[in-house]
Amino acid sequence: MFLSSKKSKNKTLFSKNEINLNLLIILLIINFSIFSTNQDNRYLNQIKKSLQFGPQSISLIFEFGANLLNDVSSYFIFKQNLLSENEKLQKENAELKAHVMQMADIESENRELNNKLNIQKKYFKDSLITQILNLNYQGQNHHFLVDKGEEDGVYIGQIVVDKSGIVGQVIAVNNNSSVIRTILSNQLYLTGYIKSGKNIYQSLIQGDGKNLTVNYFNKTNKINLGDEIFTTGDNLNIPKGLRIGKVKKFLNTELNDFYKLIIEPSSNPYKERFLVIVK
Amino acid sequence: MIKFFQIKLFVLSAVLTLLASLFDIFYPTISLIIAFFIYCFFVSTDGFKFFCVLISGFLFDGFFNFNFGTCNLIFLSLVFFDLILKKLISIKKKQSNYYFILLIVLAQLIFLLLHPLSQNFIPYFIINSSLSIIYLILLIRYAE
Repeated sequence: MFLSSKKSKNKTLFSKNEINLNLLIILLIINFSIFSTNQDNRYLNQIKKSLQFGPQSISLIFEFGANLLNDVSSYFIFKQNLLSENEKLQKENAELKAHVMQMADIESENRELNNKLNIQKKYFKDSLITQILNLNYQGQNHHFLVDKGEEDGVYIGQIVVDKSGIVGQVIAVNNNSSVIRTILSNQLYLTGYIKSGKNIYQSLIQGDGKNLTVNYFNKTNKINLGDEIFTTGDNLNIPKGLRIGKVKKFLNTELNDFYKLIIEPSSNPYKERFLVIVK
Repeated sequence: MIKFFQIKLFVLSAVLTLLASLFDIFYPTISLIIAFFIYCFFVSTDGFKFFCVLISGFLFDGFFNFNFGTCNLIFLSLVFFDLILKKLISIKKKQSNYYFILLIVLAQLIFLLLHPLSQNFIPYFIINSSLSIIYLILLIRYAE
Protein backbone atom coordinates (compact mmCIF):
# COMPACT_ATOMS: atom_id res chain seq x y z
CA MET A 1 0.00 0.00 0.00
CA PHE A 2 1.10 3.54 -0.65
CA LEU A 3 1.87 4.50 2.95
CA SER A 4 3.73 1.33 3.90
CA SER A 5 7.38 0.71 3.29
CA LYS A 6 8.58 -2.82 2.53
CA LYS A 7 9.92 -3.15 6.05
CA SER A 8 6.57 -2.29 7.60
CA LYS A 9 4.91 -5.45 6.29
CA ASN A 10 5.98 -7.29 9.42
CA LYS A 11 5.14 -4.50 11.84
CA THR A 12 2.14 -4.51 14.10
CA LEU A 13 -0.64 -1.97 13.86
CA PHE A 14 0.32 -0.11 17.03
CA SER A 15 3.70 1.34 17.86
CA LYS A 16 6.26 -1.03 19.34
CA ASN A 17 7.78 1.72 21.48
CA GLU A 18 7.25 1.02 25.08
CA ILE A 19 6.29 4.17 26.88
CA ASN A 20 5.51 4.28 30.53
CA LEU A 21 1.89 5.35 30.89
CA ASN A 22 2.54 7.26 34.08
CA LEU A 23 5.40 9.17 32.51
CA LEU A 24 3.24 9.90 29.52
CA ILE A 25 0.43 11.25 31.67
CA ILE A 26 2.87 13.39 33.64
CA LEU A 27 4.35 14.73 30.44
CA LEU A 28 0.89 15.45 29.09
CA ILE A 29 -0.06 17.33 32.23
CA ILE A 30 3.19 19.31 32.22
CA ASN A 31 2.77 20.13 28.55
CA PHE A 32 -0.80 21.14 28.98
CA SER A 33 0.06 23.37 31.91
CA ILE A 34 2.89 24.97 29.90
CA PHE A 35 0.50 25.44 27.00
CA SER A 36 -2.21 26.93 29.20
CA THR A 37 0.00 29.37 31.12
CA ASN A 38 0.35 32.95 30.02
CA GLN A 39 3.40 32.88 27.79
CA ASP A 40 3.79 36.61 27.50
CA ASN A 41 6.47 36.73 30.15
CA ARG A 42 9.97 38.00 29.58
CA TYR A 43 11.80 34.66 29.79
CA LEU A 44 9.61 32.74 27.39
CA ASN A 45 9.56 35.69 24.99
CA GLN A 46 13.33 35.78 25.05
CA ILE A 47 13.51 32.07 24.33
CA LYS A 48 11.01 32.48 21.49
CA LYS A 49 12.91 35.41 20.05
CA SER A 50 16.20 33.56 20.08
CA LEU A 51 14.54 30.48 18.56
CA GLN A 52 12.90 32.57 15.85
CA PHE A 53 16.21 34.08 14.87
CA GLY A 54 17.07 30.99 12.80
CA PRO A 55 13.85 30.79 10.76
CA GLN A 56 13.71 34.54 10.44
CA SER A 57 17.15 34.71 8.89
CA ILE A 58 16.26 31.86 6.52
CA SER A 59 12.98 33.52 5.63
CA LEU A 60 14.84 36.80 5.11
CA ILE A 61 17.10 35.07 2.62
CA PHE A 62 14.07 33.62 0.84
CA GLU A 63 12.29 36.96 0.92
CA PHE A 64 15.40 38.68 -0.39
CA GLY A 65 15.53 36.18 -3.26
CA ALA A 66 11.82 36.61 -3.91
CA ASN A 67 12.15 40.41 -3.79
CA LEU A 68 15.13 40.28 -6.11
CA LEU A 69 13.19 38.17 -8.57
CA ASN A 70 10.24 40.48 -8.18
CA ASP A 71 12.38 43.56 -8.77
CA VAL A 72 14.04 42.05 -11.82
CA SER A 73 10.72 41.00 -13.30
CA SER A 74 9.12 44.37 -12.48
CA TYR A 75 12.12 46.11 -14.10
CA PHE A 76 11.54 44.18 -17.29
CA ILE A 77 7.80 44.77 -17.13
CA PHE A 78 8.43 48.47 -16.49
CA LYS A 79 10.86 48.62 -19.41
CA GLN A 80 8.37 46.83 -21.63
CA ASN A 81 5.64 49.23 -20.53
CA LEU A 82 7.89 52.20 -21.16
CA LEU A 83 8.76 50.95 -24.61
CA SER A 84 5.15 50.34 -25.55
CA GLU A 85 4.13 53.70 -24.08
CA ASN A 86 6.94 55.37 -25.99
CA GLU A 87 5.81 53.71 -29.19
CA LYS A 88 2.25 54.80 -28.50
CA LEU A 89 3.36 58.37 -27.80
CA GLN A 90 5.47 58.48 -30.93
CA LYS A 91 2.49 57.32 -32.94
CA GLU A 92 0.32 59.92 -31.27
CA ASN A 93 2.97 62.56 -31.88
CA ALA A 94 3.14 61.68 -35.57
CA GLU A 95 -0.64 61.87 -35.78
CA LEU A 96 -0.65 65.23 -34.03
CA LYS A 97 2.10 66.53 -36.31
CA ALA A 98 0.10 65.48 -39.32
CA HIS A 99 -2.93 67.16 -37.80
CA VAL A 100 -0.98 70.36 -37.13
CA MET A 101 0.35 70.34 -40.68
CA GLN A 102 -3.15 69.85 -41.95
CA MET A 103 -4.32 72.71 -39.76
CA ALA A 104 -1.48 74.91 -41.01
CA ASP A 105 -2.45 74.04 -44.55
CA ILE A 106 -6.08 74.88 -43.84
CA GLU A 107 -4.98 78.13 -42.20
CA SER A 108 -2.88 79.20 -45.18
CA GLU A 109 -5.67 78.16 -47.52
CA ASN A 110 -8.07 80.21 -45.45
CA ARG A 111 -5.72 83.19 -45.54
CA GLU A 112 -5.39 82.90 -49.31
CA LEU A 113 -9.12 82.62 -49.78
CA ASN A 114 -9.67 85.66 -47.59
CA ASN A 115 -7.15 87.50 -49.70
CA LYS A 116 -8.95 86.55 -52.88
CA LEU A 117 -12.29 87.48 -51.36
CA ASN A 118 -10.85 90.89 -50.54
CA ILE A 119 -9.69 91.31 -54.14
CA GLN A 120 -13.09 90.22 -55.34
CA LYS A 121 -14.87 92.56 -52.96
CA LYS A 122 -12.59 95.51 -53.63
CA TYR A 123 -12.03 95.40 -57.37
CA PHE A 124 -14.13 92.81 -59.19
CA LYS A 125 -17.60 92.33 -57.83
CA ASP A 126 -18.67 90.02 -60.65
CA SER A 127 -15.85 87.54 -60.41
CA LEU A 128 -15.18 83.99 -59.36
CA ILE A 129 -12.65 82.54 -57.00
CA THR A 130 -11.16 79.40 -58.41
CA GLN A 131 -8.68 76.82 -57.23
CA ILE A 132 -5.75 75.64 -59.31
CA LEU A 133 -6.13 71.90 -59.89
CA ASN A 134 -3.23 71.16 -62.13
CA LEU A 135 -0.12 73.08 -63.13
CA ASN A 136 1.38 72.60 -66.61
CA TYR A 137 -1.90 71.09 -67.74
CA GLN A 138 -1.54 68.32 -70.36
CA GLY A 139 2.22 68.83 -70.41
CA GLN A 140 2.02 72.41 -71.66
CA ASN A 141 4.14 74.96 -69.84
CA HIS A 142 2.26 77.91 -68.38
CA HIS A 143 -1.14 76.26 -68.64
CA PHE A 144 -3.28 75.62 -65.55
CA LEU A 145 -6.44 73.67 -64.97
CA VAL A 146 -8.83 75.38 -62.53
CA ASP A 147 -11.97 74.07 -60.82
CA LYS A 148 -14.53 76.44 -62.32
CA GLY A 149 -16.11 75.81 -65.71
CA GLU A 150 -19.03 76.48 -67.96
CA GLU A 151 -21.53 75.64 -65.24
CA ASP A 152 -20.08 78.43 -63.11
CA GLY A 153 -20.40 80.89 -65.97
CA VAL A 154 -16.77 80.85 -67.10
CA TYR A 155 -16.14 81.52 -70.79
CA ILE A 156 -13.12 81.71 -73.07
CA GLY A 157 -11.19 84.97 -73.01
CA GLN A 158 -11.79 85.88 -69.38
CA ILE A 159 -8.85 87.30 -67.51
CA VAL A 160 -7.45 85.68 -64.36
CA VAL A 161 -5.77 87.77 -61.68
CA ASP A 162 -4.12 87.36 -58.30
CA LYS A 163 -3.38 89.97 -55.64
CA SER A 164 -0.41 91.38 -57.62
CA GLY A 165 -1.89 91.64 -61.05
CA ILE A 166 -2.84 89.76 -64.18
CA VAL A 167 -2.05 86.04 -64.23
CA GLY A 168 -3.44 84.80 -67.51
CA GLN A 169 -6.48 84.16 -69.66
CA VAL A 170 -9.07 81.41 -69.97
CA ILE A 171 -8.43 79.57 -73.23
CA ALA A 172 -10.67 76.51 -72.89
CA VAL A 173 -13.77 75.74 -70.86
CA ASN A 174 -15.17 72.38 -69.74
CA ASN A 175 -18.29 71.77 -67.70
CA ASN A 176 -16.59 72.03 -64.34
CA SER A 177 -13.08 73.17 -65.17
CA SER A 178 -11.23 75.58 -67.38
CA VAL A 179 -7.75 75.87 -68.86
CA ILE A 180 -5.81 79.05 -68.20
CA ARG A 181 -2.81 80.22 -70.21
CA THR A 182 -0.51 82.39 -68.13
CA ILE A 183 1.04 85.64 -69.30
CA LEU A 184 4.45 83.98 -69.34
CA SER A 185 3.38 81.79 -72.25
CA ASN A 186 4.75 83.01 -75.58
CA GLN A 187 1.33 82.36 -77.11
CA LEU A 188 -0.35 85.11 -75.10
CA TYR A 189 -0.21 88.72 -76.27
CA LEU A 190 -1.34 91.65 -74.21
CA THR A 191 -1.59 95.31 -75.00
CA GLY A 192 -0.37 97.46 -72.17
CA TYR A 193 1.02 100.87 -71.42
CA ILE A 194 4.22 101.77 -69.68
CA LYS A 195 3.72 104.58 -67.26
CA SER A 196 6.89 106.61 -66.84
CA GLY A 197 6.18 109.68 -64.78
CA LYS A 198 3.48 111.55 -66.68
CA ASN A 199 4.24 109.82 -69.97
CA ILE A 200 2.39 106.80 -71.19
CA TYR A 201 3.69 104.51 -73.95
CA GLN A 202 1.57 101.76 -75.43
CA SER A 203 3.18 98.50 -76.46
CA LEU A 204 2.53 94.84 -77.24
CA ILE A 205 3.69 92.46 -74.56
CA GLN A 206 4.51 88.79 -74.98
CA GLY A 207 5.76 86.09 -72.66
CA ASP A 208 9.07 84.33 -73.22
CA GLY A 209 8.76 81.56 -70.65
CA LYS A 210 10.54 83.35 -67.84
CA ASN A 211 9.62 86.98 -68.24
CA LEU A 212 7.53 89.25 -70.41
CA THR A 213 9.04 91.11 -73.31
CA VAL A 214 8.34 94.10 -75.46
CA ASN A 215 10.27 93.21 -78.58
CA TYR A 216 10.58 96.65 -80.16
CA PHE A 217 10.41 99.76 -78.06
CA ASN A 218 11.41 103.10 -79.56
CA LYS A 219 14.52 104.50 -77.96
CA THR A 220 13.15 108.02 -78.18
CA ASN A 221 10.54 107.16 -75.57
CA LYS A 222 12.04 108.02 -72.24
CA ILE A 223 11.38 105.28 -69.72
CA ASN A 224 13.26 104.09 -66.67
CA LEU A 225 13.97 100.77 -65.06
CA GLY A 226 11.23 99.94 -62.59
CA ASP A 227 8.50 101.74 -64.55
CA GLU A 228 5.22 99.91 -64.23
CA ILE A 229 3.09 98.45 -67.03
CA PHE A 230 -0.71 98.19 -66.97
CA THR A 231 -3.33 96.71 -69.26
CA THR A 232 -4.95 99.13 -71.71
CA GLY A 233 -8.28 97.33 -71.56
CA ASP A 234 -8.81 97.57 -75.23
CA ASN A 235 -11.25 94.71 -75.58
CA LEU A 236 -14.31 93.42 -73.72
CA ASN A 237 -12.59 90.82 -71.60
CA ILE A 238 -9.54 92.67 -70.37
CA PRO A 239 -10.29 95.45 -67.94
CA LYS A 240 -8.22 98.60 -68.01
CA GLY A 241 -5.43 99.30 -65.51
CA LEU A 242 -4.51 95.80 -64.37
CA ARG A 243 -0.89 95.66 -63.30
CA ILE A 244 1.24 93.52 -65.63
CA GLY A 245 4.76 94.06 -64.31
CA LYS A 246 7.66 96.46 -64.28
CA VAL A 247 10.60 97.20 -66.58
CA LYS A 248 13.57 95.11 -65.61
CA LYS A 249 16.09 95.47 -68.41
CA PHE A 250 16.76 97.19 -71.75
CA LEU A 251 18.35 95.07 -74.42
CA ASN A 252 19.69 96.27 -77.80
CA THR A 253 18.12 94.80 -80.91
CA GLU A 254 19.29 94.39 -84.51
CA LEU A 255 17.44 97.67 -85.16
CA ASN A 256 19.44 100.58 -83.74
CA ASP A 257 16.39 102.67 -82.89
CA PHE A 258 14.69 100.05 -80.77
CA TYR A 259 15.22 98.42 -77.43
CA LYS A 260 13.95 95.05 -76.37
CA LEU A 261 12.37 95.47 -72.92
CA ILE A 262 12.43 92.71 -70.38
CA ILE A 263 9.51 93.06 -68.02
CA GLU A 264 9.27 91.30 -64.69
CA PRO A 265 5.68 90.08 -64.17
CA SER A 266 3.94 91.29 -61.02
CA SER A 267 2.08 88.05 -60.43
CA ASN A 268 3.48 84.65 -59.71
CA PRO A 269 0.75 82.04 -60.17
CA TYR A 270 3.11 79.28 -59.07
CA LYS A 271 2.92 80.64 -55.54
CA GLU A 272 -0.87 80.72 -55.46
CA ARG A 273 -3.53 78.11 -54.90
CA PHE A 274 -6.51 80.32 -55.63
CA LEU A 275 -7.04 82.83 -58.42
CA VAL A 276 -9.79 85.25 -59.36
CA ILE A 277 -11.53 84.94 -62.73
CA VAL A 278 -12.67 88.42 -63.73
CA LYS A 279 -16.06 88.72 -65.40
CA MET B 1 22.81 9.02 21.94
CA ILE B 2 21.01 11.33 19.58
CA LYS B 3 20.43 9.96 16.18
CA PHE B 4 21.45 12.45 13.51
CA PHE B 5 18.86 10.99 11.21
CA GLN B 6 16.09 12.29 13.41
CA ILE B 7 17.69 15.76 13.57
CA LYS B 8 18.08 15.87 9.80
CA LEU B 9 14.45 14.96 9.35
CA PHE B 10 13.41 17.62 11.83
CA VAL B 11 15.52 20.27 10.06
CA LEU B 12 14.07 19.23 6.70
CA SER B 13 10.52 19.45 8.08
CA ALA B 14 11.21 22.83 9.67
CA VAL B 15 12.75 24.30 6.50
CA LEU B 16 9.92 22.97 4.34
CA THR B 17 7.40 24.39 6.80
CA LEU B 18 9.21 27.70 6.65
CA LEU B 19 9.06 27.66 2.86
CA ALA B 20 5.39 26.75 2.91
CA SER B 21 4.63 29.49 5.42
CA LEU B 22 6.01 32.09 2.99
CA PHE B 23 2.89 31.45 0.93
CA ASP B 24 -0.14 32.37 2.98
CA ILE B 25 -2.34 29.44 2.00
CA PHE B 26 -4.26 28.13 4.98
CA TYR B 27 -1.19 28.26 7.24
CA PRO B 28 0.16 24.75 6.59
CA THR B 29 2.63 25.12 9.45
CA ILE B 30 1.59 22.16 11.59
CA SER B 31 1.07 19.56 8.84
CA LEU B 32 4.68 18.60 8.22
CA ILE B 33 5.65 18.32 11.88
CA ILE B 34 2.67 16.01 12.48
CA ALA B 35 3.92 13.76 9.67
CA PHE B 36 7.39 13.95 11.21
CA PHE B 37 6.04 12.86 14.62
CA ILE B 38 4.10 9.97 13.16
CA TYR B 39 7.07 8.88 11.10
CA CYS B 40 9.41 8.99 14.09
CA PHE B 41 7.16 7.24 16.56
CA PHE B 42 5.10 4.86 14.45
CA VAL B 43 7.10 4.10 11.30
CA SER B 44 10.81 4.43 12.02
CA THR B 45 11.16 2.86 15.43
CA ASP B 46 14.86 2.01 15.10
CA GLY B 47 16.88 4.13 17.48
CA PHE B 48 13.89 6.26 18.38
CA LYS B 49 14.52 8.86 21.07
CA PHE B 50 11.37 10.02 22.81
CA PHE B 51 12.91 13.12 24.36
CA CYS B 52 14.54 14.06 21.13
CA VAL B 53 11.06 14.29 19.57
CA LEU B 54 9.85 16.33 22.55
CA ILE B 55 12.75 18.76 22.07
CA SER B 56 11.91 18.95 18.35
CA GLY B 57 8.34 19.89 19.27
CA PHE B 58 9.58 22.53 21.67
CA LEU B 59 11.90 23.99 19.02
CA PHE B 60 9.17 23.91 16.41
CA ASP B 61 6.84 25.83 18.72
CA GLY B 62 9.56 28.43 19.20
CA PHE B 63 10.40 28.66 15.51
CA PHE B 64 6.88 29.28 14.37
CA ASN B 65 5.62 31.27 17.32
CA PHE B 66 3.14 28.73 18.65
CA ASN B 67 2.46 28.54 22.37
CA PHE B 68 5.13 26.32 23.91
CA GLY B 69 3.64 22.88 24.31
CA THR B 70 1.35 22.89 21.26
CA CYS B 71 3.31 20.40 19.15
CA ASN B 72 4.22 18.22 22.10
CA LEU B 73 0.61 18.11 23.25
CA ILE B 74 -0.37 16.81 19.83
CA PHE B 75 2.46 14.32 19.81
CA LEU B 76 1.79 13.10 23.36
CA SER B 77 -1.93 12.83 22.58
CA LEU B 78 -1.15 10.60 19.63
CA VAL B 79 1.14 8.45 21.76
CA PHE B 80 -1.47 8.32 24.49
CA PHE B 81 -4.14 7.37 21.96
CA ASP B 82 -1.91 4.61 20.61
CA LEU B 83 -1.09 3.35 24.08
CA ILE B 84 -4.70 3.28 25.18
CA LEU B 85 -5.75 1.45 22.03
CA LYS B 86 -2.94 -1.02 22.54
CA LYS B 87 -4.06 -1.69 26.10
CA LEU B 88 -7.75 -1.87 25.41
CA ILE B 89 -7.93 -3.65 22.08
CA SER B 90 -5.90 -6.64 21.11
CA ILE B 91 -5.60 -6.62 17.33
CA LYS B 92 -3.06 -8.82 15.66
CA LYS B 93 -3.46 -6.97 12.42
CA LYS B 94 -0.30 -5.68 10.74
CA GLN B 95 0.57 -2.03 10.24
CA SER B 96 -2.09 -0.29 8.15
CA ASN B 97 -2.23 2.94 6.21
CA TYR B 98 -5.65 3.77 7.59
CA TYR B 99 -4.22 3.88 11.05
CA PHE B 100 -1.73 6.56 9.96
CA ILE B 101 -4.49 8.52 8.28
CA LEU B 102 -6.54 8.21 11.45
CA LEU B 103 -3.60 9.53 13.45
CA ILE B 104 -3.12 12.47 11.08
CA VAL B 105 -6.80 13.35 11.22
CA LEU B 106 -6.74 13.08 14.99
CA ALA B 107 -3.66 15.31 15.18
CA GLN B 108 -5.29 17.92 12.95
CA LEU B 109 -8.42 17.82 15.10
CA ILE B 110 -6.37 18.29 18.27
CA PHE B 111 -4.59 21.22 16.66
CA LEU B 112 -7.91 22.76 15.67
CA LEU B 113 -9.10 22.20 19.22
CA LEU B 114 -6.07 24.05 20.55
CA HIS B 115 -6.30 26.81 17.89
CA PRO B 116 -9.96 27.13 16.96
CA LEU B 117 -10.61 28.72 13.56
CA SER B 118 -13.49 31.07 12.95
CA GLN B 119 -13.62 30.42 9.20
CA ASN B 120 -12.30 28.12 6.47
CA PHE B 121 -12.43 25.21 8.86
CA ILE B 122 -13.13 22.49 6.27
CA PRO B 123 -10.64 23.69 3.60
CA TYR B 124 -8.00 24.11 6.29
CA PHE B 125 -8.65 20.63 7.61
CA ILE B 126 -8.63 18.99 4.16
CA ILE B 127 -5.56 20.79 2.87
CA ASN B 128 -3.51 20.26 6.00
CA SER B 129 -4.48 16.63 6.32
CA SER B 130 -3.59 16.07 2.67
CA LEU B 131 -0.25 17.79 3.16
CA SER B 132 0.50 15.62 6.18
CA ILE B 133 -0.40 12.45 4.29
CA ILE B 134 1.72 13.44 1.28
CA TYR B 135 4.68 14.33 3.48
CA LEU B 136 4.33 11.08 5.42
CA ILE B 137 4.29 9.11 2.15
CA LEU B 138 7.46 10.88 1.07
CA LEU B 139 9.11 10.22 4.41
CA ILE B 140 8.19 6.53 4.34
CA ARG B 141 9.43 6.16 0.76
CA TYR B 142 12.57 8.24 0.80
CA ALA B 143 13.60 9.21 4.33
CA GLU B 144 15.64 6.13 5.11
